[in-house]
Amino acid sequence: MRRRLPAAVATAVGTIVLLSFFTLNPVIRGITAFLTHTAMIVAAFAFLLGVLNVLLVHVRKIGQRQSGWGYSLALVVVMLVVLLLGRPGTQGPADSGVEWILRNVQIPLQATFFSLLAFFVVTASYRALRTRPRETSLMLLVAAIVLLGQTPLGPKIWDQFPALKDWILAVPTTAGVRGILLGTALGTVATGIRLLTLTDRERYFK
Amino acid sequence: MCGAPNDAYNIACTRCGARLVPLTPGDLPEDTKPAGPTPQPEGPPAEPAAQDQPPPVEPVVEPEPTARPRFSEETASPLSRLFPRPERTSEETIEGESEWAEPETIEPVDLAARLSHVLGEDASAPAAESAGAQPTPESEMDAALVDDDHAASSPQSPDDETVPDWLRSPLEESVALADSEDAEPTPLPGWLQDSEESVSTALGAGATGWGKAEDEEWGVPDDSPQSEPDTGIPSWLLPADAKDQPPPPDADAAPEPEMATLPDWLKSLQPEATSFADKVEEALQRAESTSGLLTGVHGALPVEPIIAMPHIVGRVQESAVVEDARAGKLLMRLLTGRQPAERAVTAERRPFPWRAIGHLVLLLALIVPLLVDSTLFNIEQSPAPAQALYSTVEAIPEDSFVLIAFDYEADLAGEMEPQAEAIMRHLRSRNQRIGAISLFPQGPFLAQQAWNRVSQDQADAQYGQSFVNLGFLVGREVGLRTLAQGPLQLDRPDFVRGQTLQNFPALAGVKGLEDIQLIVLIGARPDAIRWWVEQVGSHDSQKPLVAAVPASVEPAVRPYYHSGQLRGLISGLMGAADYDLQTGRPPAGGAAIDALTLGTAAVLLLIAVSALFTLVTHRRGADQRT
Repeated sequence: MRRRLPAAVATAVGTIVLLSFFTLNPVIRGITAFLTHTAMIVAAFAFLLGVLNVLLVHVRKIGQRQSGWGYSLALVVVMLVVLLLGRPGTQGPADSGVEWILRNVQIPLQATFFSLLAFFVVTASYRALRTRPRETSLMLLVAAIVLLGQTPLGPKIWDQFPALKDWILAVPTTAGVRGILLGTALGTVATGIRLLTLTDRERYFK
Repeated sequence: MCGAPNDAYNIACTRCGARLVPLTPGDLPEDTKPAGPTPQPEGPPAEPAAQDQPPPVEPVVEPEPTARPRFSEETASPLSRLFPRPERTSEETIEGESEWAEPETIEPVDLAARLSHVLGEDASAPAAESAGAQPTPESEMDAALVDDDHAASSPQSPDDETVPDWLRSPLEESVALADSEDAEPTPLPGWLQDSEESVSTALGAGATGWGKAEDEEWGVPDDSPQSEPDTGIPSWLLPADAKDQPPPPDADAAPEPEMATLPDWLKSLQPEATSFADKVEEALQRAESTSGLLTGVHGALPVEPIIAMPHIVGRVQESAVVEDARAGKLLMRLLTGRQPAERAVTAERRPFPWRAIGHLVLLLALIVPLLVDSTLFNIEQSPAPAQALYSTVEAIPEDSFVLIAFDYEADLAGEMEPQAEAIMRHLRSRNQRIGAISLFPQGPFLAQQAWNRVSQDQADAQYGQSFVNLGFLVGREVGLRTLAQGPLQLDRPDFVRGQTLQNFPALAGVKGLEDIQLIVLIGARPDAIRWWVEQVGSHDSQKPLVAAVPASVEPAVRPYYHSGQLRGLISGLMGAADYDLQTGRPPAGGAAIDALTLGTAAVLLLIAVSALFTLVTHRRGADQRT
């Protein structure tokens, strides 16, 4: 019963929502709207559950003095401060204190970590050249053409760089990405059908 | 046995005359054949069956001097008495024996007969019942043997040429003994007395496992418990019941020396069994099978420990050369009065910091334009997707409601904010009402920051009138599906003031998706663009969707533009600058564009240098190998 009931509920809900795409029946559409609203509520609770889980994990780590408990302490402290600043009764996320932390702490830190990517690209390209020089040379040649076509430096070297860049992005790149997207979509459809037909019930409802 | 090689079919050695084939009852003459089973060959005998149990052991008495010789006195020559030749039946003829005529000079030695004769057994003792067949010379070899026996059995003078000299004196004695019937048994020489006792005791007490009659015929003393079997007789020669009896002490025999015991101080110096073989032996001694067919058997070879036991390598002795080297260094130091020259420790060479130099070049290329606020580079032409986006925004009627999705976070804010501000300014220039929404938690905050910057330039831009922040939309695809299907949830609070949305003039007349004229997707991830296209674009294919993405995401979003699902597309800082130029504004982030351009040039330069370096090193390596 523990496995059959969730499987039955998932199958019924998925079938109704799928039918709403193929019919204009108001009953089905009404049920679909109710189910989607319910799913949004469940997603919101899942988000809250994630926050509580993070708190529990790091509090346990602090209590047991595990390795790196100092970082856990900093995380818990900042989390509690932001929660207190945006508690109900205040302006919430738009509170000035929360805004200050976001603008002066999180955004600079997040942008800094992402900016390191540029330096690693140079090292990665050098290593790729040493391991697979032929393939990497071809890839770097195309990347150089696209980079020069996107920046003002390219037209100053050769005025056809922008056009060449547009062709590369429009033809071979689009073809490859389109194939990937189609394959992903077909895989998603197959997985959904397996789930709705309970073909893979042992994996999902075990 | 002299050890000389002989043919396989020889009965006796050609050099010394020793017998090569064991005796069997069939080899004996008819009158001297013992009654009973054939003698057992050497080796541990099999367990006697119940019906073959030897007769009970009787007390051993002194051997009787009446040992019956193996051959008749009449035909026995002195030499034959000493070296009697056994008779053999045809059944016991050795295969191939007839092919080889026994040399006339061969004198097989029968130790038992010789000893029995020496012991003075009665040669004329009646023969016991014979269990085997009577020997009948059938083959030529047997006939020859019989003839030889007859010839040998005839008394021969000591002057016979065949008798070696070293046997003449004892031979004479034996002849004289054989002639005299009433002769009393001569006392044995000293060297034979000990052997007599040892043989008698060895053959006594049923050691042979034969019957009593056989023992009598062979001159073996009767089996008796009083015998002295403790003369080194193997246990397998003793009958089963005799093995359990403790050997009685020998009163006349010399006391055996006591086993020496090591003093304690010497025992402590005994080396422990370190070799692999010693440990195995110890394990075998301790091992006692507890299961299986070998339960209770000691010394059974355990399979598992032997297999699992690692090979113990002996301790490696320190090389004497090392000791000598140390002693030599010390001697030199003492003689010369100075320390020996030590090898100079060279510092480990550190590699040239190519990576650090490359990173420094890139850093300078990015930072310097931002510091000097340069405007070295200008946008000269706009790509087609950017022109399409501009056209789409231009086609919307004024005072329409446009929904902007701020689906990016702080990591790409530097690249996305110029795009968002450029589009928002263009929309405001056409007096459009803007609503901001986000599928990510940081989106509403970033949207508010972008609006704050845009509204600074426009006096009539007020929050709630021209712009409203709808906040965070939970559920991603599910939330978008709800947005697309149902009416807009106007009873929910906004992100900034916490008031219900229906109170804001910006949302006047907007009840659902059908009242939204344009949806602008400012997404940092291709998934975000895909969610909007799948959930909202599929619900209303006529709803115009335009997108602004980072330059790294543009290849993944291009298929949606080329398929018509996106009406316009701009990417990166260059896309924002190009859009500003189309709207007649100076491009935003001029210094950022210079930094981007110079940084791109530095990256390409470093990649080219590394490619050239790799090519050169590869060629060098190939040349060295060839």
